Amino acid sequence: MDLIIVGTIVLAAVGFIAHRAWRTVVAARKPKGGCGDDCGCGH
Amino acid sequence: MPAGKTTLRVAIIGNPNTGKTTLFNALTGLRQRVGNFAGVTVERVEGNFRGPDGQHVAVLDLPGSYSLSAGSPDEQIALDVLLGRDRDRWRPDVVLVVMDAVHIDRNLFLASQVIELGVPVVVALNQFDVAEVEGVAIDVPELIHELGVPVVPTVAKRGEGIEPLKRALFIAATLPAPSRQFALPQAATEALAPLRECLIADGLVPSAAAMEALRLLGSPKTDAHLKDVPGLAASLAAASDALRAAGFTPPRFESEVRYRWIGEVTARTVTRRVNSGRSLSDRIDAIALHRIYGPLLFLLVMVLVFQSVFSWATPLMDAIELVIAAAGRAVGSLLPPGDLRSLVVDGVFAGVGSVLVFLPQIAILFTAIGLLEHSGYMSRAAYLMDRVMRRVGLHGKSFIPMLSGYACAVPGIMATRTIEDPKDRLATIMVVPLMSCSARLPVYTLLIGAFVPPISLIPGVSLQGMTMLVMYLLGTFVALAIAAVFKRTLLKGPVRPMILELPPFRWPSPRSLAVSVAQRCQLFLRRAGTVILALSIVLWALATYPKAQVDQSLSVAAQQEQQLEHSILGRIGHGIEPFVRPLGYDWKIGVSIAASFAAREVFVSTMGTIYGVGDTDGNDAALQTRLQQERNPVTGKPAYTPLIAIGLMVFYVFALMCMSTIAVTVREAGGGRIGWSWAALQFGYMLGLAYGSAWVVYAGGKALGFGG
Repeated sequence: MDLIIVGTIVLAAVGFIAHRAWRTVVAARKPKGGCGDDCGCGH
Repeated sequence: MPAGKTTLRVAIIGNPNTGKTTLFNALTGLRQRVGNFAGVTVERVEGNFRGPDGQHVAVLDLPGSYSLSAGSPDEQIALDVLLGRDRDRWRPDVVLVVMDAVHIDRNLFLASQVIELGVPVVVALNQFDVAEVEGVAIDVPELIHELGVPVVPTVAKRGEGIEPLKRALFIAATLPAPSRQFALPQAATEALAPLRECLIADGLVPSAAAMEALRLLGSPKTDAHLKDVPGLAASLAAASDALRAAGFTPPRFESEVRYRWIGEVTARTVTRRVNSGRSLSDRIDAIALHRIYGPLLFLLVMVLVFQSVFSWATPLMDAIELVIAAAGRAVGSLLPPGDLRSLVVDGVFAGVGSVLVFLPQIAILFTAIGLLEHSGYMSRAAYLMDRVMRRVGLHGKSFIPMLSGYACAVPGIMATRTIEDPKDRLATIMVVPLMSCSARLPVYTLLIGAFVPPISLIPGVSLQGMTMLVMYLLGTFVALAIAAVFKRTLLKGPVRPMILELPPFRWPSPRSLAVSVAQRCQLFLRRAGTVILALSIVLWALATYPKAQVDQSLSVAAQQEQQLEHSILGRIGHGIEPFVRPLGYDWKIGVSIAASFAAREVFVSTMGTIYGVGDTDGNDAALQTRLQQERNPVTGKPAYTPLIAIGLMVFYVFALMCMSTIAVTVREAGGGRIGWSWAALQFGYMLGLAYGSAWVVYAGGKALGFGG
C-alpha cells in the first residue's frame, strides 16, 4: 500500500514537471504576451 | 457607455514615470509592479473595475511612451493598440492619458498625438500634489478648453481624484471624439493632403490619418506599416518633397508644430512660482550624482544592502528552521516507518524546507531594492552607470533591464523593449542573466553561511556580507565585459547618447513597498510549493530506488551511504562526477548542479534531500551544519572547503540555469531559428564561463596553497 501511494505521488510530480517544461517551450514559441507564471517575475 | 456595448474599454497611456501603473492599480485594485523610474511597464497589462452604476470597465495599461513615434518596441505596442492594428487586443473606447502635472509641457506632446486618434480621451493630471509643492499652478478649466477633453487632477498614490476620473471616463465615452486643436500652415496642409487620403483609404478615420501623416514624416524608415499599405511610401516621399519645397524640414516638422502649440497652451494654463533656493532633491543630487562622491555613495548603499541581508535575516531564518524541523517531526511521527514517511520527512520537508528558510533574505533584499526604486535612487544609479555603459558600447538605457535582472532575468530581458537599437537590445538580452537573480540567493547564502566565517571587517560590515556583495559585483562587471565583446564583434554598432529623466526623490509609499515585497515573497513561496516541491519528490525517489542489498556488518551510516550510492541518483551522480571532479566537487554536488538546471534553488533542495535521505540518526541539524560536518569517506578530511564553496558560488554567478530565461530569450531575440540560436549561444557561453571560472578558482586556490 505504501508503495502504491508513494508511486502515485512520484508519478504526479513527474507529470507536473513535464507539464511545466512543455508550457515553457510553448511560451518560447509565442511571439508576444507575458512570460509563464512559473518564471518568478510576477509579470 | 458607448451604445450597444456592455463593457467600457479604456487604455491608459502616458510618458514613462508619470504614475500610470499606480493609477492603473488605484482604478482596478490590482497590484502591478510600480517604480520611481522609467520603463517599469514594457508590455500590456489588463485589469477591470465596476463603474458607479455597476457597469463593467476593462482597463489596459500600455507601456510608457514619450510619443507615438514607434522608435522602440514598447512604443510600437502602444501605437498598434491605439490604431487598432493589434489583433490580440481590443481597440479602446476611451484613452486615458496620464500626464505628470509637474512636467505638463513635455507630457503634452504625446497627449496632442492621442487626441487626434479619433477616440474619446480623458486626461489625468497626476502628481498634482507634487506640482503644488513645487510651485506649479495649473488652470484646469482653461486646460480643458485648450485640449477639448475632460481633465481630472489626481494623486494616484493616495487614491485622490479616482472617483471623478471614473465618472469622466463614462462621460467621455458618450462625447464625440476630439480632434487636432491647432491648425497647420496652409502650404503644409496641402502638401500632406494626398498622404492623408492614402491613409484614410487604408481604413483610418480622418483625424487619425492626419496624425499618422505627421508622424510618418519623422519616422519613415522605422515604420513596418509602410510596407503593408499600397502607395503609402510614394505618397510619403511626395509629401516630404512638397514640404521641403514650401520651406519646411519634414523630419522636424511634427515636433515644430506640436511644440509651438504646446508653448501657447502652457503660456495660457500654467504659472510657475520662481523658486530661488535649491530643493532637497537637488541638494541630495549634488552628492548622489557627484563624479567622486556619487560612485562612493552607490558602493556604500550596496554594502549596506547586502550586509543587512545577512545580519537581519539570521534570527528569522533560525525561527523558520525550527518550525520546519518541528513540523517534519510531528508529521513523521504520525506515519509508520517506511517509504511514505521517508518521502514526507526526507523528500518534502528536507527538500522544500531547505529552500523555505531563505524567505527572510528574499524579503529583506527586496525591501532594500524597493526602497531604492521607489525613492528614485535607481535613476541616479543608472545615470552614474551611463559612462561605464557607453565605454563598453551599450546604451545607457540597458542599465534598467540589468537592474531588473537582480530580481529575475525574465522581466529584465522583457525590459529591453525600451531600447530602440536592435543590436543594443540583443547585446543587453545576452548579458542580463549574468546579473545575480533572487534564485541564486539561497545558493550564495547556504555556502557563505556554511564556509565563510562571520568576521567583522569594519564595525557593522562582516566578511559574509562582503562576500555576497562580491558575487553580485562579479556578475555585473563580467556582464559589462561580455557586452563589450558582443558590441565589438557580432553586434557591432554606434554608441548612442542616453537621455535620462531623473525623477525627484520621493518618500516611498509604505503600501506600494509592502505590496511589492509581499508579491516577491508570494512568488518565492509559490515556486517552493510547486516546482521545487515536485522536483524534491522526484529527486527523493531517485535517491531512494532501487533498494540496495546493504551489508549488515557495516555501520548504519555506511549502510545509508551504500544505499544512496546504489540509487539512480547515486549512479547519475557518479556518471557526472568525472566532469565536476576537476572543480573539486563530489558526486553529490555534481548531481545537485545537474538538477538545478531546471531552477537554481533546486541545488539547495537537492542537497537537502540527499542529506535528508542519507541522515542516519534522526539528526535535525541545518543543511549548513551537515555540509560543514561532511567528511570524505576515503581521506576522512572535510568533503567541502571554503575554496570549493567559493568556486561553486562563482559557477552559479555565471551559469544559466533557468528554463524560463531560455524561453524568454528565444522569444525576445526574434523567435524561431534565430531566437533559438541566440539562446543556445547565451547558454553555451555562460556554461563555459561558469566551468572555466570555477576551475580557475579551485586550481588557482590550490596552487596558492589555500587547500581544497
